[in-house]
Amino acid sequence: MRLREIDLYGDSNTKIQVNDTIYDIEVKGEIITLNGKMIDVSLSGDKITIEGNTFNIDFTEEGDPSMMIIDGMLYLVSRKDSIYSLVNEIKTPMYGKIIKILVNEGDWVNNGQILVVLEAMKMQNQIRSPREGTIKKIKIVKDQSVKLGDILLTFE
Amino acid sequence: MQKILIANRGEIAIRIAQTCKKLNLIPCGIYSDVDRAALHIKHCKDAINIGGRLPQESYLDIAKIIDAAKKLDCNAIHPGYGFLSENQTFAKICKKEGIIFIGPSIDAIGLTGDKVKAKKIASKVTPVIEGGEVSNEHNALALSENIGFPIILKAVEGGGGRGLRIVKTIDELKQAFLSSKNESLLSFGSNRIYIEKYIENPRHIEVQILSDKSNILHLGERECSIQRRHQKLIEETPSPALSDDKRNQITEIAKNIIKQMEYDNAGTVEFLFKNGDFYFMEVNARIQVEHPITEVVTGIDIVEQQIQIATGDGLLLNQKDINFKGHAMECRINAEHPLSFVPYPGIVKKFIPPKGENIRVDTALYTGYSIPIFYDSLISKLICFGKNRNETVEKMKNALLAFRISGIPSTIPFHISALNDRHFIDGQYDTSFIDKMKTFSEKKGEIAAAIFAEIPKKLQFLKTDEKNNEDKWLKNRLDWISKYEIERNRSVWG
Repeated sequence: MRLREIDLYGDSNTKIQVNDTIYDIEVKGEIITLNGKMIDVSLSGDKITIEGNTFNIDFTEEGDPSMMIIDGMLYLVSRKDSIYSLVNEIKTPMYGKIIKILVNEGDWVNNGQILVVLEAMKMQNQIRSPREGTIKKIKIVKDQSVKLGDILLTFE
Repeated sequence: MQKILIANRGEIAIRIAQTCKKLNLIPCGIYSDVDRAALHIKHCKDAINIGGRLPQESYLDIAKIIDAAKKLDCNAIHPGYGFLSENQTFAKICKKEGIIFIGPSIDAIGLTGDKVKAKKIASKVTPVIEGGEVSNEHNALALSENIGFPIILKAVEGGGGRGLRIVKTIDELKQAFLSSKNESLLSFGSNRIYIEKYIENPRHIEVQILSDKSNILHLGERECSIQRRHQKLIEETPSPALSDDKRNQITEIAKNIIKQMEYDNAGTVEFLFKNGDFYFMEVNARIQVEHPITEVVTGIDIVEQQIQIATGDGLLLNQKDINFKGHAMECRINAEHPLSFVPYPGIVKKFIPPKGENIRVDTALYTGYSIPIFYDSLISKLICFGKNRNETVEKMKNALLAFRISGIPSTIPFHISALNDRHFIDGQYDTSFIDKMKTFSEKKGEIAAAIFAEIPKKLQFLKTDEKNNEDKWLKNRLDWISKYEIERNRSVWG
């Protein structure tokens, strides 16, 4: 399981958005307060027990928003008070082979513009830019096999 | 017929092996270099490593497969679906080598494989969609302007959604034509393309046929409108869209098309259905992924019938022997990102399928398995049966909630959302369903929020780095293989 890489914040008070709703969460040592109500949370392996009810954490993935599959259901989660930072590196979302590179170093690209076409599982997948900016360095070549998390290119 | 080579992998190879055992036939298998730990091997009495990783180097390599059949002393080959299942050259070579091909005759494969020819024959008995084959951009442009946008590009010798492109304006045509051609070449080894008028938001309904030419019977229809990128995600039978009259009409048309084509063995006639009219699309000359729902409502083992027809004995059933009972539904669970549907191969940390009465799971997955990147992303078929549609939907919802897959994301959240959507519950849906659907989460977001707050504090142990994970996986795999070798040496296969 690849988990979001966030700071182990100690005592904190934060707003977390889940799907369309925002929750106030306060963490003080072992005590978690959610929307002003103290809740009992314990984790064991990939199961979490909240107020006596146990849920299965099937899958989590870092992102903006982050994704969680809990008991087969999907939740999109993000911290609302975190400072939004620009992505400076584009990483591959999957294993596969680069079949097309549609930008050059020094190019200005728009948000949503197709950067690279990646082939995996007999499908062609377009990787789009999550931001606008100038391409600094392209780190892959055509026909190269890439694995999950490899850096495709960087922004200036 | 004694030994059958299953020229496939994954759940369908296991499915075929099960019927072989039931019929006292001996299932044999093949596997590629990346499939050394694949579960289907375990279901075969003998299996040969044919090497390779990519389909072209393995499950599509005719010479290697024929060689394996000879080495294993198999006198018949079942191709499953995909790979060589609708490859006429393969069927021809089987015949030349004296091996029975469990599927339609060489002529029938040739005819159904040429979508343009098939349409021409079907047009004798039913309306077909306006269009034709195009050899270059210029022709494509002329024909598109003639029939009017939107149009759809399809592979003449393809299927399964690959090579399909919907083109709404003239400006998109060039790019779409080229990419359709490339994808078709990559997937089917042919770059022949044809154009059809695009029917927006139809329902997709197909009829399962069994034929030995002299006797043609239908096993009812399957509703397959829940699709994305033209790949089916949920199928059900009977279709909630058809009245008894319409059902009789479509099954009769389907039988008639099969008769006109002189088609034999199991096959599926696919139609689009819009505003009360059916339009013929194509005949799929193979067992289909969604065949289990038909098996569940009819009690007929379609693989058994395929073998029965191919061995030359012909059908032992008549239409009056086919009785339909209850309602069945299948969810295709893929290893994909639930929002983007991007394939997501990886290591399966936990795999616990639901169990219970009237629940069937066709799968080749197990805990510790690493899903290779070289093949399809389908990892499980969850099939539920009930007295009626409501009961089946409820059963499916519960089965999905109880299905534990971790380590990789799957399309389970999509399926849960679909089954809770009002339009789906009412049976009022078409191929545009997925675009309009809303994500459903039954439980309150507080749980997710709490987990999100809690995980970084306590869940250090979940934060395994990639390297560590891979080592663990390799060890699991080696353990599994050695265990498997021991079992094979003991000849525990029964």
